[in-house]
Amino acid sequence: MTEVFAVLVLLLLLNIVVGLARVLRGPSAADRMLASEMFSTSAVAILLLLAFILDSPPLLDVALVLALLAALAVVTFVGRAWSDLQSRQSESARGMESRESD
Amino acid sequence: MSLTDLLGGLLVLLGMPFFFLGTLGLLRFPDAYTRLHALAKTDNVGLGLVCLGLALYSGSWLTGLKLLLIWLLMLVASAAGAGLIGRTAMARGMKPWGL
Amino acid sequence: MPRFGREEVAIGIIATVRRQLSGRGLALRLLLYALVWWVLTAGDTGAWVWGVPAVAGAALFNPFPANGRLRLAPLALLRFAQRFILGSLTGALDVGLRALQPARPLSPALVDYPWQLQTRSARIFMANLINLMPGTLCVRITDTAMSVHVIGDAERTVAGLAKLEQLVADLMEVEDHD
Repeated sequence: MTEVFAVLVLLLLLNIVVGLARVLRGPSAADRMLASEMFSTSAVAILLLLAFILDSPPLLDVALVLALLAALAVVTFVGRAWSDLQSRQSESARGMESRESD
Repeated sequence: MSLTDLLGGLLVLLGMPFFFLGTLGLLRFPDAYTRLHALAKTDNVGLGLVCLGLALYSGSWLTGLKLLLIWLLMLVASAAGAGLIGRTAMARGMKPWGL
Repeated sequence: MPRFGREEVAIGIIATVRRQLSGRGLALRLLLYALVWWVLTAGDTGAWVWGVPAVAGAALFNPFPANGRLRLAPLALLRFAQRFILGSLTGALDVGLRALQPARPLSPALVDYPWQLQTRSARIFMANLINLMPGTLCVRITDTAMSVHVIGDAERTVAGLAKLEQLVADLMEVEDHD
């Protein structure tokens, strides 16, 4: 079964790599942030699977801390980073761009 | 390999498509709001199935409870995160697509 | 949310502290935090040296507002959990299928949903909860309503929200408003 899990870990990593496209394309800061939310969920799943593949229970605690940090990351982004970005670029204009880019 | 091992592995496998669907939505949907829809809903179901499957696979109540705790934390993180991003985007006047 | 004067806040804080140091709430938190510690340390008995002070400290300094305490209603919790799991699954399948189809069928709408819930904590819980439920995303919270970004059939979605709100009320709304 652990061999199957190892394949799944690779697939989840691939999932993150594909998701990177959204970070690169944006177009708004919100899009990049929600892509990184996806990374943390996938990363937690990867850590959980690794804990069983490597038979190493401490990795469960690592996953737990990552889950906690995921919440903080979003709050910090919205509270600080987004407002900084906002002063430099108009978010609504960027939102319009996304309509055309797809 | 016992029956619970097999069932656990199966549930973990079942969780995978949800991760991929979420990423597909993230790439294909037209604006930040619809992408939030896609991510918040799919990824948590995926992680939930992975946690449930691994809990069965581990065969230990304690590990199962810890996995449940991790899932709940991640649920709170992404529900609150999606809401925060959505509300802030709206407050900043980002227009939803198709309206 | 209504604004309070300074005196009202002070009275509120005193009442909160008094309530938290007495009775069922404290006992419940002690029990809950002890359970969490037990799970976190994977049943390691040696870890209780740190665990007892940590649990006691956390239970004494309660960050949750007193009017938002959970009623101990196992039946309501069970019904809520069932609804949550079903809702999560249908929500994920719904949005996943939309992402899969080449035409990418989305019919976004903004709906104002007036609150039935009374307490602030229940409203915030509901607003975050609907982000995980089928086709809804909360994009604005006001005193009287929340604005919901809906993909798909707006009418059916709002009917689902009303049912969900009732479950949240059963779970979280306390009888005594003081």
